[in-house]
Amino acid sequence: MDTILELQNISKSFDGKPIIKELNLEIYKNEFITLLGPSGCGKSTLLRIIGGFETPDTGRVLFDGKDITNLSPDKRRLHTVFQKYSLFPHYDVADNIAFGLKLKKKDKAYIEDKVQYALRLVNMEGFEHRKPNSLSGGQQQRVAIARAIVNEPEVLLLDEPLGALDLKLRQEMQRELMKIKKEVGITFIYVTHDQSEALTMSDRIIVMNQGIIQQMGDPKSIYDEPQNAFVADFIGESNIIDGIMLRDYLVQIQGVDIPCVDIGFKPNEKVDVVIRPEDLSIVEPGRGFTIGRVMEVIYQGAYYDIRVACGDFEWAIQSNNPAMPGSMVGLSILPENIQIMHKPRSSDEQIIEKN
Amino acid sequence: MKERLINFICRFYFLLIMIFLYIPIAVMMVLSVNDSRSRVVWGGFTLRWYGQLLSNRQIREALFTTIGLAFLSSAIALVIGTAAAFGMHYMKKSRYALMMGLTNIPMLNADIVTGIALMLWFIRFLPLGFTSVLIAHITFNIPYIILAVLPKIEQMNMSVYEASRDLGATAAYGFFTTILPQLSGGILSGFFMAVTMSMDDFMITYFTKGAGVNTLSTMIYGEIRKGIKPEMYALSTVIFTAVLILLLVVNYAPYAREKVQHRELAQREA
Repeated sequence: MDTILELQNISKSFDGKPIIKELNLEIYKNEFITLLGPSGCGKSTLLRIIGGFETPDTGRVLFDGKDITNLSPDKRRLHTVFQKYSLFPHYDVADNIAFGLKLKKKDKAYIEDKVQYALRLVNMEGFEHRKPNSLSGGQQQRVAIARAIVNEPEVLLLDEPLGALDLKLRQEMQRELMKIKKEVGITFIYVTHDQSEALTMSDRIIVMNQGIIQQMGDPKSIYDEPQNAFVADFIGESNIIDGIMLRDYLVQIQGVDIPCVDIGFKPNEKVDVVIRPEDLSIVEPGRGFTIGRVMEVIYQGAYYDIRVACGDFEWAIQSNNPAMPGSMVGLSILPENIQIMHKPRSSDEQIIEKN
Repeated sequence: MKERLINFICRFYFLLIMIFLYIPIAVMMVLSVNDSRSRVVWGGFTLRWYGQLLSNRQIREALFTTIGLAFLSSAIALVIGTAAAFGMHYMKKSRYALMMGLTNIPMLNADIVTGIALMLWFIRFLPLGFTSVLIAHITFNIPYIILAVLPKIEQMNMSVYEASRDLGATAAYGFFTTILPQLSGGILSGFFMAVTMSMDDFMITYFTKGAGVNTLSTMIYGEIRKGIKPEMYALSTVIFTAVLILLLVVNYAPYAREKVQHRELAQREA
């Protein structure tokens, strides 16, 4: 794949507090890449460095192989869709969208054509002469997207663009964003803290925490094979429990030996074991790998959220069938649904891409 | 019964305050249309004194000086003050507090002290005249601009500016299209506040003006020392009315804009 953007050894700190630590990343042409992480993990700062609104303390940003680290935003061939829409309040919708084209001194007919095209693309025909503050949040964000795309950037940066919208509208906009992406065929760099949004839309997800990349890969590999406890915990709900890898294909949890499919660990290495709540099933006591007491059952619509206490660990289980609170149950798991991870040597150890 | 008594006291109190505040001005206005040189006899209605005002070359010159001085000093103070407000906005907290104090001191300082200090300073470097008064007025106008513009800067939405840069605008173009409109309310009220202050000022002007330069206030003072003439009532009435109108504009303009916004918001909700 062709690389369009390359981040080399980027570091950035604010007031002595490091936000991004020696980060390296390649972004390919036409991919939908998502920077995912909790607030303060450095994802927005990274986007602002790419957009030209921050200068990194160290490192370089390469666009098509050329160094653009110190280029001002107006000279970069990429555009940003901001979190707070940031439409020009005193211009109407058409003038907002035409802003970039007018600066490029395009002729009137061309601008009009492009504005109409952009409005159609984001499903906002007929809103040309409305003022931004007379539009809803979702409509404003559509205009913001149109305003960026109309300039035909090679890369579109989106900084939590759906963060301010309610759930239903957000899901609708996710589908539309994917449609727009398909239609214009450019690179999307998307920043979000919403893991379901990332899993839904992305070709590739970069999970970040404390200024470093924790894991990158396609959504399925991120979800199914988290590389460390942070990723496992951040992407969906997880049971993360201490274990000992006795030998290949055998892990011990809470003194019970359980077959698994993982190999390549040192004998008796201490590990983190990740089990997704939906992979656990409730069975009769004595038939699973462990026995515990049902502490809590919460109906969630599509499933029951069940908590089972075994010793000092509380398992989270998602089950289609309810359980009786207070009763004793067994838990069972298929070997291939057990994910074994090395214990991190330090809290911010960087996990390298595994594809 | 008790309620009515309280109500009465409240109204009386309010009335008393209004009497003390505005009756003197009202008396002056009445005297300005009194067709008599006496201050106690009503000689009928006339606009004679206003007419004499217009035909008096000295007064006309003072009027032009006052207006020119007010607008010119306010405009220059506007540029300096707005730039200063931006600088202060991006300062560290301790420096910001220091600058804020330095901004407030000239406003709290007695005018006569400021006036004498400026005069002492000016006579060392330049002849007293229109230029020295202009510099003095710019000096005391700057704090008013800063205090009016700074809150707007603190509220401003920087991401609009970033959006303009992102779409290809240069720093200057982005500033004028996205930042300045956001500050316009503060800039406008600061400007008119400064104009009012400049027109109002007597003390500082008195000390920094050279011979031959007169604003309305210094001229009135000079005339009154020779004896009070009814033209001066008329002139004072004109000044009062002008300042009143300015103040109404300053205070009403942001309110009117808000009302328009509210209406737009209501339309959107409907």
